[in-house]
Amino acid sequence: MRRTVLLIVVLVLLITPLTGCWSRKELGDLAVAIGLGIDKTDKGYRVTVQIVAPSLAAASSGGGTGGPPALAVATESVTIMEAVRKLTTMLPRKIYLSHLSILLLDEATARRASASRWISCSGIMRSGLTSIWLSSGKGLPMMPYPL
Amino acid sequence: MKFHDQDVNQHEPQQQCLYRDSRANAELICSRLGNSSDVSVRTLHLNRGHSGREMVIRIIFLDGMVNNQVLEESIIPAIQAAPPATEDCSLPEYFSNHVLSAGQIKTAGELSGVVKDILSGCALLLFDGCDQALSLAIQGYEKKGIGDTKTETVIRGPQEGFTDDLGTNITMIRRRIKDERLRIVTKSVGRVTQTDVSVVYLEGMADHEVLKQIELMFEELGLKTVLEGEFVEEYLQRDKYTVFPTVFNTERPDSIAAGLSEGRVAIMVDGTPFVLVVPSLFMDFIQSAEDSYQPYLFSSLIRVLRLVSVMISIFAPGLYIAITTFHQDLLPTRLLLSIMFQREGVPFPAFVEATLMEITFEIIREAGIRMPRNIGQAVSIVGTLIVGQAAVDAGIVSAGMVIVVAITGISSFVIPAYNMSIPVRLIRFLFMGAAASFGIYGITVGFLIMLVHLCSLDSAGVPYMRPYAPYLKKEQADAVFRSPYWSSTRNKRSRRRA
Repeated sequence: MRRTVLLIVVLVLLITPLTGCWSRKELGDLAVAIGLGIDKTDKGYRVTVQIVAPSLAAASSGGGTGGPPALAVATESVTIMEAVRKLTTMLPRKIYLSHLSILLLDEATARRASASRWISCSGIMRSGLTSIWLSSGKGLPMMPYPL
Repeated sequence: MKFHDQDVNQHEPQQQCLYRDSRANAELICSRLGNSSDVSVRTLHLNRGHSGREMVIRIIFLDGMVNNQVLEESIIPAIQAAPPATEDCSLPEYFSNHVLSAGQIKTAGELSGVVKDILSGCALLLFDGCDQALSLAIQGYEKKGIGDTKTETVIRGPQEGFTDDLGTNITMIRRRIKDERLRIVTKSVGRVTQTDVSVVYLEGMADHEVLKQIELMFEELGLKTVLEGEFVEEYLQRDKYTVFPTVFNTERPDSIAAGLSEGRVAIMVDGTPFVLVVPSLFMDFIQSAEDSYQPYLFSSLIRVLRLVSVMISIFAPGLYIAITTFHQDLLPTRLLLSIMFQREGVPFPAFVEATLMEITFEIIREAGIRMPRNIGQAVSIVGTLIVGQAAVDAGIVSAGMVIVVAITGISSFVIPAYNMSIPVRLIRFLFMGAAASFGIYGITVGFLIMLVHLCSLDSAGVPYMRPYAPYLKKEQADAVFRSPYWSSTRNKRSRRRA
């Protein structure tokens, strides 16, 4: 009886490290994306991501009047997903899209079925949180401050 | 501190009877007590006119244990003024029936019995030419008077609390329950301390199984010292591998009176104001005596608030860890960003940060209880300024974490029973660990395990989660919600009238 109980306790304790803290992400390792812009280019897509930079906030102590400081990074690749993934190589942190509040598309992207499928199926959109904007011109215009 | 591991009173001395000579008896008793300096022997010489024989009566007592006033003003003058005994009855009988005015007198002839009487504060009368002695219960030691309750204060309701003296405490219960069915069974336990322990219950109301279990516990109890209820409580909680308390303790006579009238059994230990109650259920530890003395609606809300507080103080740090390291999408964007900004520069992962702060808080709490009253200010300054403000400024912890630890700590103070806040404090760390490795999933599973464990517990045979598991409709009147005293679920007579 006591042996069994001990065995169960040991097993339960072993599970804890065995999971390797699956899907654990510390806040310090995340780059929270609040805006995402997608433009159709000749090569494929140009993806611009606007992320909140807490380190800038720490430097300017509070971010001043305009809310949290943000910076934009852009990459270009054949598919949207590839471009998003590529962003990670340019930033020290992992891009975190769950809090995306603005998705900015140009007309060419919006008209493409594959692009809209990616947008609806990739899980980056959160209903009620993300709003989709369309830009008429080519090239990514200045992304408005979303918060 | 342990000086001797072996028992002081190892071998039970064989039965020894008193001699017929009072001087020899006095010497025997004194030597048995090691000629301790507080043993007093008072020798009275009575001159008996007609028989011409001088009679010697010796009184042995412990200084400070007997009531000197009674001894000097009533016992000794009565003996000195006593007319000579008639021949047809023995001296002890004559004195106890015709001379002495003390309340409780008993005749004893056996050495260890009379020694025990002296030790418990009786005055012993030894007669020449008689192998029987009289022990007079004229205990009168200094004791603390009845004061306010220290640990369970109420705004409205009875203010007096139990004292350290068992006799006074029993009186306080008697005063509240004037029922002929009230039974008080006193035993002395502890081979060295010989502590009086009283089991108090209402005949016909208390469960026989519970009484039997308590009786069994007393048989098993083989302790050398019994100084507080905990010594007994741990025997009652034996075979229960749990951190949750299954024995309630209170220093409020009104709580005990309420418990007794519900058919519970109280165990009172001499020397402590804390009285144990069995069976005690989970809900008893969430209820305060004041709930009965405030309007029912308010009391019900306060109890809900207390349950929420228990939840907060168990889960808050765990949830904070889980949400900030696993489920960032659960937070509103602004809140997430604000937590992120706070945590920027904090070198530890959330779990380490939380553990650090919780342990710091436990240290401050322990220091607050243990330190002398007059340096309390220093600790609170250090606690608030150094740990709160400076740690955040120094970037060791984030401000959000300080808030979580603070609300956790404050919530745990809401729990009325201190022995329930101890398991809550312990379990909190387990949930923090579960949250750090599994996220909210870990907390959910942990909560289910805790719930199953709680439901598997019993207190003296009564399911711990009663009246929720098992669900008993007629006991819902005083669980989380307190129904008004006139309500029909509470009072069968009023229903019949209506």
